[in-house]
Amino acid sequence: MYIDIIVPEVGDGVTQATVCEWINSVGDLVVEGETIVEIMTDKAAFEVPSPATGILKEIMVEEDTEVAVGSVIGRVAPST
Amino acid sequence: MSKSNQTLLELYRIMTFSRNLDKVIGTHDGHWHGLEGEEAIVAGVYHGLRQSDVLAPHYRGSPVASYAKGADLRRLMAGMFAKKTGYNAGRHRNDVCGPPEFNLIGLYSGSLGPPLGYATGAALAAKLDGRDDIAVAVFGDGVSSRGDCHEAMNMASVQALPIIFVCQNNQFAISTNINTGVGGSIAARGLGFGIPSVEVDGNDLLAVHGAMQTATARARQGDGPSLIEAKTYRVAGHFYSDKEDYRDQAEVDAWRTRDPIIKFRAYLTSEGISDISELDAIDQEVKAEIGTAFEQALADPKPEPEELSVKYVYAGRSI
Repeated sequence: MYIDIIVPEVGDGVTQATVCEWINSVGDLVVEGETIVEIMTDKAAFEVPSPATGILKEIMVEEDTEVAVGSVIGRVAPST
Repeated sequence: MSKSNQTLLELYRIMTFSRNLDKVIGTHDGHWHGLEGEEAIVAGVYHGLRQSDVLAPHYRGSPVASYAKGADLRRLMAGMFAKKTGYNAGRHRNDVCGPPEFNLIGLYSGSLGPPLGYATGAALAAKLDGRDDIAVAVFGDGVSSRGDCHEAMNMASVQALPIIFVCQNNQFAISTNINTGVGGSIAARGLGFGIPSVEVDGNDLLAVHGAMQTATARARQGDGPSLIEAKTYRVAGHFYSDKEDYRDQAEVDAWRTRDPIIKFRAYLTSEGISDISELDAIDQEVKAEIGTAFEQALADPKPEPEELSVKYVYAGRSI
C-alpha cells in the first residue's frame, strides 16, 4: 500500500499551487517529515514534507505544473 | 544501480552479517551477547559514518560497528580470541572494545554509561576544532537511568554538541524488564534536556536509517544533539548461554514474527529493488567471509608473554 503525497491546504481561498521542485527522484530513500517537494501559490512558497519513510515510488506531477490543492502529486512506498 | 538501491543493499548486508556473526561466535562462545531481532538498529545506525566520526557503540553489536567502520574481520575475531594478530595483539576484548584507530570508543571500564561521557567529549573536541565530524553514542534502556546518561545529554544540549544519542531499547537490562527498570519514556528524557528526540520502530530498518539521516544532518551543520529511541525486543538471551528463566518464551516467539531481516527482505522484493536469489547470494557471501575469518583467527598464534607486559601501558615513555 502506497502513501499519497498531497498538495496541502495552505490558506483560505487558495485553490491552486505550482509544483516548483522535487527534492528527491523516484527510487530515492525519503524520510517522514523531511521536505520532499516545494510548491508555490500566488501568495508564498511552501515545503511539503514526506508523509512516510520509505522509497519515493512515483512522481505524478512534473515541475512547473499547476495543480489543485488536495491533489495527489506522488506516492511513497512506506517501510512499515 | 541507483545510490538509494546500493544503500538499501548495503544496509541489508550489515543486517545479515550481524545475524550470521551471531551464529558463528555464539556457538563458539557462550558469553557472546547476541543481537537477534536488533539488527535493524545496528545497520541503521552504523552504516554510512565517516571514519573520522567517533562512535561509542552498544556492547551488543560492537563488532558489527567495528566492521561497518571498516575494521578487518579476521583481526577483529583474532582480538575476540586473544590472538597476536588482533588489533591490540590480544590485550583487550575486541567484542566490547573496537579498535581505536577507527575512532571507536570501547567499554573500557566494564561499567555501562561512561562511554556516553567519552563520546560527548569527542563531540566537544570536534566542535572546538571546527570539524563537521560527529559523535554517536549507543546505549541500552538500562543505561538510560544512569547518571552518566543524564550528565552527557545535559552537557551536549548546553554546548549544542554534534552528537547523536541512540537508545537501543530492547526492553531488557540483563534480566530486568524495562517495566521494572525504567520510568516513563526514554525519548521524553531527551526532550527534558531540550534535545530533539524521536521514538522509532527499531525493527523497521528504514525508520532507524531515516532518523539517523535527519540527526546526522543536524549534527554536521552545527544544530546540536539529537536522541533516537529505537524500540525493539531482545529476542536473544542476555548472552548465548542465558537460561532465560526470567521471561515467558511465548513473548519471545511473538517478537520473532517481527524479525527485521525477514521484514526488510519482503520490502526489497515487493518493491522490485532486489530478488530472493540476489539476497540469498549476499547471505552466502557474508557466511563465507565470516567462516573464513573465523577459521583464520582461530588458527592465528597467541601473543608472546612480553607482548602482554606493561610495555604499552605508558604512552610515549620507555620503562
